[in-house]
Formats: sequence, structure tokens, C-alpha cells
Amino acid sequence: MVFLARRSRRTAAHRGTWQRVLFAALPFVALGLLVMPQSAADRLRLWVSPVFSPLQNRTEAAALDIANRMRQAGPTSPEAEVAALRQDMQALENALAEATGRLNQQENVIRDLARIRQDLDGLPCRLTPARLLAPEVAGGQAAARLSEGSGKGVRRGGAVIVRRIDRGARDAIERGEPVLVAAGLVGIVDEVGPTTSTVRLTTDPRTSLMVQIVTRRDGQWRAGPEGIARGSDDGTAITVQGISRTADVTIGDFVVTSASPESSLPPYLIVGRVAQCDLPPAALFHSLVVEPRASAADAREVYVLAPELPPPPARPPARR
Amino acid sequence: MRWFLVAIIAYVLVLLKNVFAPGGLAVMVDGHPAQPDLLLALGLFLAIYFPPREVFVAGWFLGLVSDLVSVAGRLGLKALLFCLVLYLVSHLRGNLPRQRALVQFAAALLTVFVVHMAWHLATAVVGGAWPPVLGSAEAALLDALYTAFLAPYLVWILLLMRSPLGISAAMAGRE
Repeated sequence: MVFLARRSRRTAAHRGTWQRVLFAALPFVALGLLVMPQSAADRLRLWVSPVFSPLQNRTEAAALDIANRMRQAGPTSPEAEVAALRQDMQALENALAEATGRLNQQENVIRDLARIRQDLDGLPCRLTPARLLAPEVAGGQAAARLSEGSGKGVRRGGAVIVRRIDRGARDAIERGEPVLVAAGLVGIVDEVGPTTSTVRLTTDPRTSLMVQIVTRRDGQWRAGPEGIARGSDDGTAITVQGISRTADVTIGDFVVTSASPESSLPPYLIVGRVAQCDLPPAALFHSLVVEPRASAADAREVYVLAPELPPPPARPPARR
Repeated sequence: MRWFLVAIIAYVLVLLKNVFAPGGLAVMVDGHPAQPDLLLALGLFLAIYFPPREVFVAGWFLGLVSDLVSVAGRLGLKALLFCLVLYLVSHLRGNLPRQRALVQFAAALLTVFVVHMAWHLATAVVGGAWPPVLGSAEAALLDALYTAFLAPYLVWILLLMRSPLGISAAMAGRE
């Protein structure tokens, strides 16, 4: 008995010590969590969600069921029924309007795909539709999936040079693949995550493309000289270097990706149009500023262009 | 306090949280879906039956769980608010007739209102926004009312488990 009493006293003392330690430490841990970056906190929430979500989905379905039954069991008078029917009608009209909007969006996607396919002129490739994620998306669980930091990808003047799309390795997106809209090239896939990817825009100073000038003189289209296009330092335009001073280039000429075998991109994707053409007296090369044809700021739906995957090897017929 | 049992009850309450989600049993008032804070109600139950130091630790963990299952707000904010407010309640409870439903209602109303109001304001301030005091007060009050209506039922259910929870008959007011 004495032993048990002593043991019980010792356990109680031990528990008391732990409680005192926790009592002192927990507020500091909470403060530490408070100053933790939001992206890390969101990632933590994402990791924890599988602990609760499987059963939560079931309870949510049960709750919706109960709520629907409660709503149906409510009014019985004719006026109330008319009001309920009107409400249902409004909800249906809203759903119809939303569906029409979605249909229109899908039609636009199909039209864009057809146009890009036509421009690619039978090149063996596949186009993966993707959506540019809004740069202002932040907070909540979304941020954990999307970004490493809101400051990344924005130049000092405020120009956005990096965007994210909602496609990643799970959709067979690979680094270096061009991202297009019907109007032309938007950027190049930079980092590929499991469900999202980073797109380096054509205006990013780190983007370097082999390009060709296409001119139109007296109604005649001509392929012009080739050069290297890079994003400008402020991230708002593209500069083209290496165009000889003797070349015939003027404002309004088109800039397309080069057909050279050294170019990593498919040929003749529209990059932009020459907006400024300077030729300093002693310079050997033109100094061109190109305005991008496809602006990521206006685009929402984009397409990732990838080489067509080779068909899987045919299996030899099984022998009996 | 039987920590393991409290953890299981907290887990069940987190699952029940979805039942009160918008579209479910949340009550829409003036565009705000009023939802009961069942975890805080559990914390309040602990605060009126257990010693302050245990309540502080339990409140911290309940707040952290609440932080983790919510999609917005700074992590650790509810942990801090839960433990401080519940510790205070545990200290101030004195000789309250805690078995009375009206007392449970009032305690839940006040506690949830204070915690939610503080959470709304702190979240707005941390986010760099001017705190919308009236809107926050309305949202906090609606949540507090809903929780307060459910609190006596929750306390009744929890008191059915008083022996496994380690609450004596004297503590439960059933001498």
C-alpha cells in the first residue's frame, strides 16, 4: 500500500512537472507559429488534411442530405410553395447562365486550339490546355500548392516576368516547353511541380530565344535576318540583338521563333512586333525593342506545346 | 483529465464541424454563415470542470487543431487565444452553478464571442487591413449564439462520460 501511495505521488509530481513545462513553453511555440511564413503554415495544413478529410467528406455529405431534407420539409402553404418554386427557378436560371459561360469558354478553347494547330502546320506535337493562375492568389491552402513567395517573379518596376499554370508533371509537362495563346508565344516552362509549373515569360531577362525577323515590303512577305531575343531589364518588353546594321528592319516587322536546328523551340511561333528600331552611328548591329504579341496579363487560358509522344511499342503476340 | 479521451472527442468534433459548414447546417444570417465552434465549446467544458493548468494545455492543443483545420488565418493564433481565454475562464469560474444550462449558455456566448472577435481583429491587423469592427462583431456574435445554443447539449453528452473523463460526481454537481 505504501509503495502504491508513493508511486501515485511520484506520478502526480511527474505530471505536474510536465504541465509546468508545457505551461511555460506553449505560448512561445504559438508565437513561433504566428511568425512562421504563411506558405509554410499552409503547407502544414495541407499535410495535416488527410488526417481529417476522409471522414470529413462523409460527414459533409450527410450534412447536405439533412439540410436538404430540412429545407424540403419546411413550408407547405401554397404561397410558400410558389416562393420556393420561384427560388428554384432562379437557381436554375443562375446555373444555366453559368453553364452558358462555361460553354463559351470551351468554344474559345477549341477555336484557339484549332488556330494554333493550323499555324503549326502538321508538326507532330500535342497541346495541353492550361490556366494561368492569378498572381494575387495567396493565403489558405491554395498558396501551399502554388507559390514559394509572392515577391518572386516581379521586377522592381512591378512587371510580372514569371507566372504559374495549373499543369505539372502529372500532365506530362516538361521544362523548356513553349507556352502559347492563339496570338503567339507567352513564355517557356521553367520549373515543373507535381500539379503546377512556373512559366518564364518572354519578357523575362533570363529568357533567350533564337528568332527571325519577318518583313512585309510592298505587299511581299520575306523572311529576314536571325538574332537573339531576350527580355528587357525592366521586364516589360523584348530586345533583339545580333541583327546586322545592313539588314532591312523597321517598326512593325514581325518576330518569330527561328527555324534553325539549333533553336530549342518549334519554328515560326509569333513572338511579337518590332516597336522600336535604333541604329546608332558607330554600331554594327540594330538595337530592336519588340512588343510581345501575346500578353500574359490579358491571357487566362494558355496551351503548352510538347513534342508528340512516340506510340508505345507494339507487344509481340503471345505464344500459345 | 484523461487526455486520450479528450483527443478522441476533439477529433469527433472536428469531423462534426463539416456538418455545420455552409450548405449544411450553417445558419445564413445577413450573408454570414453562422457556425458553432464545437472545439471551443469542448474547451469551455474542460475549463469549468478541470484545473486551470490542465485547461491551458488542453486549450492550446484544441486551438492548434482548430487552426490546422481552418483554411485561413495565421497558424497559432487560435492556439494562443484558446489557451489564454480558457485559462482565464478556469480561474474565474469560482462557485458558478455550472450544471445550469443558462450558465453554460452564457459562458459559451461570452467565451466564443471574445475569442472569435479577437481572432477576426488580429487576422485583419496581421493581414495589414483596417479591422472591420462591426462586421467582425456581427460574425462573432452569430457564431457565439449558435455555439451557446448547442453548448448545454454538448455539456450534457460530455457529462454522460464523466467517469471516463475523470470528473467526480461532486465536481459534476450531482452529489
